[in-house]
Amino acid sequence: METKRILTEYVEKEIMRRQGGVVSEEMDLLSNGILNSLSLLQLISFVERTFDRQIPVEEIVYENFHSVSAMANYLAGNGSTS
Amino acid sequence: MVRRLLLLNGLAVLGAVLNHTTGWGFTAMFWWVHRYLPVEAPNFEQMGSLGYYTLLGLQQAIMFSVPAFLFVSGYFIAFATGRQKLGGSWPLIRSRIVYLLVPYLLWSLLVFIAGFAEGERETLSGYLSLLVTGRTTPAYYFIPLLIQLYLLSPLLVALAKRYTGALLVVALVIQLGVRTLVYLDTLGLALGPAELLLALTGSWFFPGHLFWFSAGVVAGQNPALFQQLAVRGRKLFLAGAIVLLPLGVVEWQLILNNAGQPWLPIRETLLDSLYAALFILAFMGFEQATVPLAQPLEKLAGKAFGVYLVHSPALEFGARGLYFVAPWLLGNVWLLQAVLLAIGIGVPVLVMGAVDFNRSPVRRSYRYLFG
Repeated sequence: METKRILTEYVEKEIMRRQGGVVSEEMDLLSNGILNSLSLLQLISFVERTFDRQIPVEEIVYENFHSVSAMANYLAGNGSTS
Repeated sequence: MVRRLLLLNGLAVLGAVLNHTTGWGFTAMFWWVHRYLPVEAPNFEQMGSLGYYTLLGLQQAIMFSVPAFLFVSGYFIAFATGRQKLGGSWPLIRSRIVYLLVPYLLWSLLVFIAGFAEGERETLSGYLSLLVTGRTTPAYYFIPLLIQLYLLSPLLVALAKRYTGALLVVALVIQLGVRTLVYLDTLGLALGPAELLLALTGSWFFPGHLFWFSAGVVAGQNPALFQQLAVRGRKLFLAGAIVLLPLGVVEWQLILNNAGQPWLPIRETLLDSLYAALFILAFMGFEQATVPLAQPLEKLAGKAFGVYLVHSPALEFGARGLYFVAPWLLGNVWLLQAVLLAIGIGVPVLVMGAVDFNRSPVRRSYRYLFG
């Protein structure tokens, strides 16, 4: 729960810039236009710093990073690889 | 790898701004020279001076900027489309285009209004042509270009999956073909079909940049392989980029000497394309190498599109302001570059900060203003 809260807060504050929108755990951040190439890189960089994880490039795949829920799932050790 | 891509983009933003500050540097050197020397303008006597080669060297060094932006965009598309089937990526592409197009149209409109206030007039088709080809400001060609590449991306992603090598080769041949046409055009040798082709291969049109985006897609689909390639050949890539940097300056000077014109703005050549590729590979290969000001650069990367949109009009007003207010500055190449760089980065960041301010009434429009 804490992981999801941290991720949701980051997406709403730093990426959506508090536009008033709410990010649900399952919302696809890509097809909803929330993430672009640079905000995706920023998000992954944030995840690496905050959770002290070096994410291998082969694990940076859509399945692991397209939603808050997918990221939390990946960080819990249930991710996919390319 | 991710941090490196972010840093590459931060450097690319800096490079994009420098590209235009150096453009104004040449304007000050040749066309505004009468503001600080007792000569008539234009005057090209400073060509060949240390200041001249400083500007040319800077322009050459930042030739990787647009390729880097396109490479990262292709990488992102490969990531974002993941294992989806052809066509499944349209919602993503539609949203990307909306967040590119709306800010682009808004800033273009502001530039048109500023021009109109100064007496510039265009027909409706003239304004439309400026928008389609991204000629509203010298920097805006990149937005129509990126939109075209996003529209092509479902096809490129599918091709990259099935025919990786063939896609890279074909994209490279098309891109280098366009670069060859640029030589012909610059040297005044483009005739008949070449002239027609050139009309279709402006900076805003995708064939001249197809390889960078395609390479990004391929790297995004095979990130571990790409990383391995960059790390293994990094010394060679770095050495190549270092050698090509001065060679690119010499090449452009030779082209200029044979072009029959006193001055031409720099254009990407074949050597520049090779330099850009080697620079990107070397930068990604030396992933542990420290980059000065890494944190501010990463932050700048996050504001890339906003800075890109605002820096060009900011520099236009800034440079023209200096022409009237501080003409002595125009004659000092380094100081002028420092001031213009501060304007080109500082003004966009301030404008973005003002819009993003907690109590700003336009805060909710942030993403429609800056992507």
